[in-house]
Order: sequence, then structure tokens, then C-alpha cells
Amino acid sequence: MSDLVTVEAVSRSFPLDHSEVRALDNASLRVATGEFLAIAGPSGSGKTTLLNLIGCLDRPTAGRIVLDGEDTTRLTPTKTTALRRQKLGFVFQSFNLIPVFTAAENVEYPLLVQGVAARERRERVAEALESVGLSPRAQHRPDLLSGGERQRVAVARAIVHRPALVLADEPTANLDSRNATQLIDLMHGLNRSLGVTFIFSTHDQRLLDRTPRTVRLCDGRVVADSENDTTEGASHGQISAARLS
Amino acid sequence: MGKFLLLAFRNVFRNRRRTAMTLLMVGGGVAGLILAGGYFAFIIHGLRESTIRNGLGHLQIFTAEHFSRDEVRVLDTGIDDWQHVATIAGSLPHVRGVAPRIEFYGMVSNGQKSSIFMGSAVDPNAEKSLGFDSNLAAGRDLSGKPGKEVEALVGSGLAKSMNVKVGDGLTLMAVTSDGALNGVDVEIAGIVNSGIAEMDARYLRITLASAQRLLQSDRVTNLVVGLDSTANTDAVYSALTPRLGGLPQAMTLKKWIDLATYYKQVRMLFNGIFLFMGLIVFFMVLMSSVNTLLMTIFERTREVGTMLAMGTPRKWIVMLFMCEAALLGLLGAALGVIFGNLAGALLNASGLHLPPPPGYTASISFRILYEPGVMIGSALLVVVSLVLASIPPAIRASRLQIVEALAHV
Amino acid sequence: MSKLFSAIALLALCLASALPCAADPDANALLRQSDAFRNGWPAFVVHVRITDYASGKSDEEHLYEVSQKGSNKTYVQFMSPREKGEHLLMLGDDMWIYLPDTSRPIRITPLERLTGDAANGDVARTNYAADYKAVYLRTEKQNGVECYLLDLTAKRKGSTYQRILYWLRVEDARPLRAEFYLTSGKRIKSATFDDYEMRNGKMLLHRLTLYDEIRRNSHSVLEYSSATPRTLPDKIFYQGREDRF
Repeated sequence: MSDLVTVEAVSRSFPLDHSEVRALDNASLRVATGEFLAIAGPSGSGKTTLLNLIGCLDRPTAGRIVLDGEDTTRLTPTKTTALRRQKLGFVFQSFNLIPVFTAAENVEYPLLVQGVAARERRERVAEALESVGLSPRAQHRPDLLSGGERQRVAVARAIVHRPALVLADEPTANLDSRNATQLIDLMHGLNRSLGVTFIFSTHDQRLLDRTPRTVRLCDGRVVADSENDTTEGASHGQISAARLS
Repeated sequence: MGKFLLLAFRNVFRNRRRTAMTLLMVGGGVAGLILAGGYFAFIIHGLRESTIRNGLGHLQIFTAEHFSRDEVRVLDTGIDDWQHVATIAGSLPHVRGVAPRIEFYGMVSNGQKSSIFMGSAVDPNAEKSLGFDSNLAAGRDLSGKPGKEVEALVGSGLAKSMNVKVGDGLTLMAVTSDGALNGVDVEIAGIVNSGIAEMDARYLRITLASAQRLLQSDRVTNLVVGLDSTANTDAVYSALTPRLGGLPQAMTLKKWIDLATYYKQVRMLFNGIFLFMGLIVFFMVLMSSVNTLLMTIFERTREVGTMLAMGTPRKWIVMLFMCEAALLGLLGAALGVIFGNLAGALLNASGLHLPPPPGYTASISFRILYEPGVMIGSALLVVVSLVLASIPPAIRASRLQIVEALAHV
Repeated sequence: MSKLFSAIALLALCLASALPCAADPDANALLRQSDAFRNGWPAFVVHVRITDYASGKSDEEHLYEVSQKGSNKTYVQFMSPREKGEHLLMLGDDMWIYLPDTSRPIRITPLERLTGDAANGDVARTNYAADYKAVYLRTEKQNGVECYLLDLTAKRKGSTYQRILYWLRVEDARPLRAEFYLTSGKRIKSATFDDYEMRNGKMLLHRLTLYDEIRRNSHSVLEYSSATPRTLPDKIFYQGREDRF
């Protein structure tokens, strides 16, 4: 399988008073098409920064990122916007749904931005809602949905336009443990059925156990990159040396 | 695009209280402009009709020479064979009548003291048929019947300075159309009060026949044409102009609006006041909206960040907020129009009386006229004001850094 | 010392040359003398023909019969066919015009136009000594003739002109030229006393030309003839409106 994402020696620094903070320090990573992987690490380890850089929401101070064959660090703002429109989907920790739109309308949003015709939009939205099991709640506004339902709407929104990659930053942080595992399973299921690559960040070990691949970050560095056997119960696999909790 | 408009519309009602305050302010401004504009329109309309009814008429016929040079001798730029011209004008549809006039001046004496008078000679019957009011303060109007004594109406100021009352006599002296002196005794039939002190101090009116005898001329200075309705002025003007073409003297036709300098000044004054009021409303809406819109956009920082993250072009964000402002303006304007018209109808029905506006001498009922132009204009005003107010915050929102915006509370 | 004496001598010389060679002529006496050329007798009648010229071309001609008694009673009858029946009366400072078929006179002022450039006062008030105070200015040549130049100031507001510059022939105080000024100081007219003739034993003014100083292209010529002394009863100068004669 070809690499969808290549992160090459990427660093991201932020100025702070008279010095700077290195959110990411010389991180490298390769993600193949169709993978389902988690980025793990304590808070402050650079998970969000890494996801933002991969998602073209931010620019690295050093290094480069290749996404689907394009060096994103070289693109103009207009091109990155177009790139995010076509090839990326996002799921956020706080759901970030538009409160005045119904679930269906929220899911519809990426298609609106792409300029897809109304009929096609309707069909694809219905399909997406179906795939997350929320068809009966399609006409409800977010304030009438539970946390888990809202995040499922967000997932539907993230895949409705069939992006190449979905990025989810701590998508389960605001969910209870049952909804959390259900969400990860849902995303995994979509990854398998649609072939969409998923990268999500978390610090919940139980979720990591269900993920085939985990990349660990610590102080902005990649300290581990392991494949897991995610069959239920088993958690053996090659674990790299430094494993921090 | 339709979905975005829907989004804008729904966003307007997100914060009910804030929207209500803005709508109240915008609606109030529009309603206020409608009431003020309607009242001003009423005043101007009244002034227009009273100006025309006070003797200006709807159209006036002069010789072209009257405007191209000054008189050397009295009536040397006057109209020859005026009856013929009057017949031409009188034959047109919508024409109620034609009144001949002579403007002249001379000296008036009570035997001890003399003064200058500004004279106007009229045909009393023609004036009455056109409904022209003489503004009599005492006595009676000139009679149309030929009599032995020459009658005159004098302005109240002139009567005072000549120390005469109704029934007294004065002697007039004028230079005739061929330069000789001529005089005539007149009896005061009535005293007029135009309300304008400078005019009343010199005003004198005699019959056309008397003036023609005094000035030794068959001519008249101008012909005043009265119509059945002011709205027909332009139509009759267009119809009459070619008919005046074939006459031995070159003629000029003037519409009342060209001759009503006082009316035009008053109208300009009121337009100026109304414009000023509009400007005040505009800036008030603008100033108070900027703050409200800034708050709204601040509260939606994360939402905007999300939309940008999903690949929304920044221009669309600007458009969205401007749309929301425009919708707010339209809604407020609609409310203002409804409320303004309602208030106007109530005031009209209330029978309220106000002090006389310029042109009237008696107080008249307070009326608000229905002015579609004012409604459309003030609606447009507030919409533009709101949209302009939204531009800086909207542009600011569109320039948000996505990462920071997503991290916003 | 010699310097001091030279200075004193120079000063004395200057003072001497500043002194008039002879005593100034009595200006008011001269004025009275000059009036005799226009008012030959205490009471008299004279005919005046006034021809108005505009741009050099003769325009109109008017005839008047002037009856004058003393210096403050004048009765002017209009003799031209068009003006028949009109007359003008001056009593002291007051002037009236009477029009045929009217029952009241119109009060007028001496400065107002009678005809052309002749004001009412030019014809009705010709007794300058009564109305003006004279001051001698100097002697100068006027058209080659030695003249006394007098500065006349009106004694009362009712005079025709507020100030007159009057050139009188040194020989006999005959008026040769005059310039007439308004209160503002503006020169309004000038006059040349062109011709004198012997009439009933008196040398009297025969022709006077008045020039308009404001409208430069017009002038009026006044021709006096048939001057005769006559006893004039006071009732001619009656201000009321009763029928005369």
C-alpha cells in the first residue's frame, strides 16, 4: 500500500516570552492508505499539534509533510483550503456542530462547501447518517441530541464527502466510557467499509488496546510506533522500549 | 447558496434578546423617519397648494423678452393681443381659466405724503373663477363691474403709512408706456394682508381696465393659467408650448414650480432637515450595531474556526455575516414600516391640531401623508447601515487563525 | 550767526509767500451776484425749453412756464401738449406735482427727475444764495476765462444738491460752470452755462447744459426765453387743489 501521509522531521515551535516552546520536535511518521491508527501521549506531548499539521490547519517551522503525493508545506492558503475541502474530514473533541442546523444539515455542510447539487447531497447525507445509525434523528438539532449522538453526527459529517483522511483530536474526551468505545468501534468500522484512513488522538489506554497501531509522543517526540494485535483480549505485540503512561 | 441564506436567517434568531433590541432600535428609527417624512410631506403639500391658490396659478405665460431684458418703459415687454393668447390657453383640456395681470409701480399720495407702490392690476372676475384668494383684512374685493370710481386694494402696511381706511381716497401717479406722467384718483375698497410685511408696505391692486387707462397701454405683463389639478401641470405645459409657437411675439411658458421661490426654499429646508434626521438614524444604527455584531461574532469564534477547518472559503464567512446583518436590517425595517404606518393612521384619526405650518394662517389638523418613497428610502438606509457595520467584524472573523479559533472557549 | 539770520530770512520769505496777496473775495456776496443772472427780478415769469439728448441725438423736448416769486415760491406749468394740465409747485423746502383729473397732489423732491437730466430743482430752485453757503477756493482759468471757484454747501437737507462747485467769471460773477455732488460725495451732474442774452434790461442766462455724470452719454439743454418781471399774487402758489385761474 502506498503512503498517504509522510511526516518528515517536522518541528513546530511557538514563541513564548523571550524563548520558545517546541510543541513538536523532529517528528517523523508514515501512514499508509486505509490505516487506522491512534496518536497517544500525555497532555502537552504534541498530539494536537501533530494532527493540526497533518490536517493543514497549521504550518511546521521545520520539515515537511506529504499528503496524498502533495507537499502541503508548500501550498498556498487557497490550495490548502481546497485540499481540506476535498481530502480531509475532521472530528473535534467538543463536537463543533452548528447549533442552528439539524443533524442532517450539519452532515450536509462539507457537500455544500464543495458545491454538490441538492439531490446528490440529500442522498449522500442519508447514507452517511445511516452508516452511523442516526437516521431517525436526522431532523433534530444538536441541543436535542446526547453527547454520543452528537459525536456520531460529527463522524458522519467527516466522511460524507469521502475524504482520503479523517483526523479526530481526542474525539472521546467528552464521552462516557461506553460511548467512547462505541465511537472508536464505529470509526474503525467505517475505516474498513469505506477505506477511509483514520488518525485519532487519545490518552485512554482501553481505546489504544482496540487500535491496530499506536504512535506514542512524549515532549513533542515520537517515542514509540507499534503495531498491535487488536483481537479482543489480546494486547501483545511489539512494544517499543520507553512506554510512558 | 440557499442553505447559507437559511443559515444566516436562523443565526439572526440565535440570541433572541439581542436581536429583539436591535430590531427595536432599527424599527424605531424607520418608524420615526416615516412619521417625520409623512408630516413634512403634508406641510409641503399644503404650502404648494396654498402658493398656487394665492395667485401663482399653475402656469404663467410671458413674452420671451420679459426675461431677456429689463423694461425700459412699462409694459414694453408685455403681451400684445392678450385676449387671443388667453383663448388659446383656455381652449386646452384641464384648464380652468386664464387671468391677465399687469405688474407696474408708481407713486401714491394722500395729499400730504407720497410713497412708492408696487401695483398689480387684475381682472377680478377671472381671479375669482380661478379661486384665487385676496387675503382681505378689511373691506371687500375689487368688483368686476365697470364703474366711475377707480377702486383699489392696498396692503395693510401701505394703508397705515398713508393713513387711510376703507372708503378713503388716494392719488396714483405712474409713468405711462410712452414715458409721460399720468395720474388717477382711487377709492380704497379693501385692505389686504399677505403676511409678508415688506409686501404689504407697498402693495396696491386695481382693475386691469384702470391700469390700462393709467398706463396708456393695451398690453398685459403676463397671463396666469389655472388648472383643475396640480398633477396636470406637466401635461398642459407640453400641450400649450407648441400652441404658443406661432404667435407674433415669442412667448415663454413657466410652470408654477419655476416661479415659486419661497416654496422651493421651504421645501429645500425641510428636505435638508429630513436628510439630517436620516443621517442621525443611519449613524445611530451603525454605531450601536457594530458592538452587537462584534459580540455575536466573538461568540461564534469556534464555529467559524470549524467552518474554516472544513474548507469554507474565507469570503463566504464575510458574506454570511453581512447577510445576517442585511436580514436583521430588513426585518427591522419591515417592523418599522408597519409600526410607522400604524402610528400614522392613529395620529391622523386622533384629530390632533398643530400650529400653522408656513403658508397657512389657521391651524390645521395634524396629518401624516402616506409616502412610499420615504418608506423605501428609510428601509434601505438602515439595511445599508447594518451591512456597513457588519463589514469590519465580518472581515475580522474571516481572518481568524484556524488553530486559535478552534481552541477558543 | 549769519546762518541763523539766513534761516530767519528764509522763514520770513516762506511766511510772506503763504499770505494772500490781496484779501479773498467775499464768496457769499459773489454768489448773490451770480444768482442775478438766473433770477432777474424779485417776481418774474420765464419760459424754459428743455431738450433731452441721448448718445448725442435729440430725444425729447419739453416746454415749461416758470413763475417765481422771491427765493422760495415757484410755480411751474407744463406747456408741452402731452403734459398739458400738469404743474409743479415749490414752497420753501416742499415740492408737489399736480396731475390733471386727480384730486390730490403728489409730493416729490427737488432731486427727482423733471425730464432728461434736469431735476425738478434745476428748474424750480435756482436761488443758490438762499440755499447754499459759499466758500472761496481759488481763482483759475475755465476755458481760457479767469474764474472764481466757489465751494457751495447746502444749508438745509432739502436743497437739491448737497454740494456744488461753482465757477464764476471774475469780471461779473457770471456762472460759467458747475459740478453737483450728492451727500455721499459722488458727483452726479455737471453744467455749463453756455449763453447769456440781454432781456428787458438784464443780462440773463439763455442756455444751460446739464450733463449726467453717471450715465455718461446723456445731457439736457435748457433754453430760457421771454423772461419778464410780473406781479405774482400769492394765491398762485396755493398748495391746495382748488381750480386755478
